[in-house]
Amino acid sequence: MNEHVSTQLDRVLTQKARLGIMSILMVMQETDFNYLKDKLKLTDGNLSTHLSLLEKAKFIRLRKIFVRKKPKTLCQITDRGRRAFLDHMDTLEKIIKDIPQK
Amino acid sequence: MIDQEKQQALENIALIKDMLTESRQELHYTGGGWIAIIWGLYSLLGYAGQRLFALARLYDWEGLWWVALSVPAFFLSVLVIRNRAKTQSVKLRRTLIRAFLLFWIPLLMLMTVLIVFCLVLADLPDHYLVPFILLVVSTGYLMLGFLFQRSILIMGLIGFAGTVVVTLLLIEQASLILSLLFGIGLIVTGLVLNRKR
Repeated sequence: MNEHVSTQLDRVLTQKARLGIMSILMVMQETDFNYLKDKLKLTDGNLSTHLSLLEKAKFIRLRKIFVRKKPKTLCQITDRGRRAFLDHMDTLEKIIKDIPQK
Repeated sequence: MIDQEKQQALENIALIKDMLTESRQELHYTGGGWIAIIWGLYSLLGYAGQRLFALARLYDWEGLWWVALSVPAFFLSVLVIRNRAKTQSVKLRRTLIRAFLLFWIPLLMLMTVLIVFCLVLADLPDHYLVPFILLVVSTGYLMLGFLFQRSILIMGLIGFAGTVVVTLLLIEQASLILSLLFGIGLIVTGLVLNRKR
């Protein structure tokens, strides 16, 4: 039963940095690369990798804009990402509840 | 194994909770702390300037000084809000625009009304100027509070009642007391808001 519940966890979201990105985007809806980098204390390369994985899973949408001639990467959560995040939270709660205390 | 799974799930939930709380706080922080400090300084500098103009017998400039000072205060407030909008969060921008509309556009309109009043009521005694300004501003917040938000209504009520009480009881010192109360009150509120963030 417990193993079954844990297999329901979305593998993309099991990594803490990606879970952090999704949590921020759940509230902010859309934010820029530097904001996420500051909040999660990640390096450029590290954050790029995580964002690419989330984009590949279609949990977020990335777009580039120019603000005063400087490029800016914006990350926006998708409906699919929102649903996946909520499902992931449900599963985490189930794991905590289903496993009997010692 | 089971313990490890449970432990991991608990850690993840804690991380999510922290991130959600932090982001929500970030979202609701509109830079109000800095804006309160700006307008607190405005109140203190406004009074100091008014007194200096009175001492120099430049009575026409007393009212206009407040209006002139409101221009940099207004633009500094806009700058704070623009800085906050840098994250490009759609939701945050909406909150900031709302805050901007609720606080600063009406305040600017009230300042415009004041220019007209100061020019028309040129013979208004000196010591009524500050209470008059604060009553107009407080009335604006009262009206807005009725329409939009309870916290603005409370702000308007405190401002209005405080101004009336001080003006009725201590009219000779009302300008000094009200400028200090509003100025220091706003600066302290700003510092508290910035610290709470």
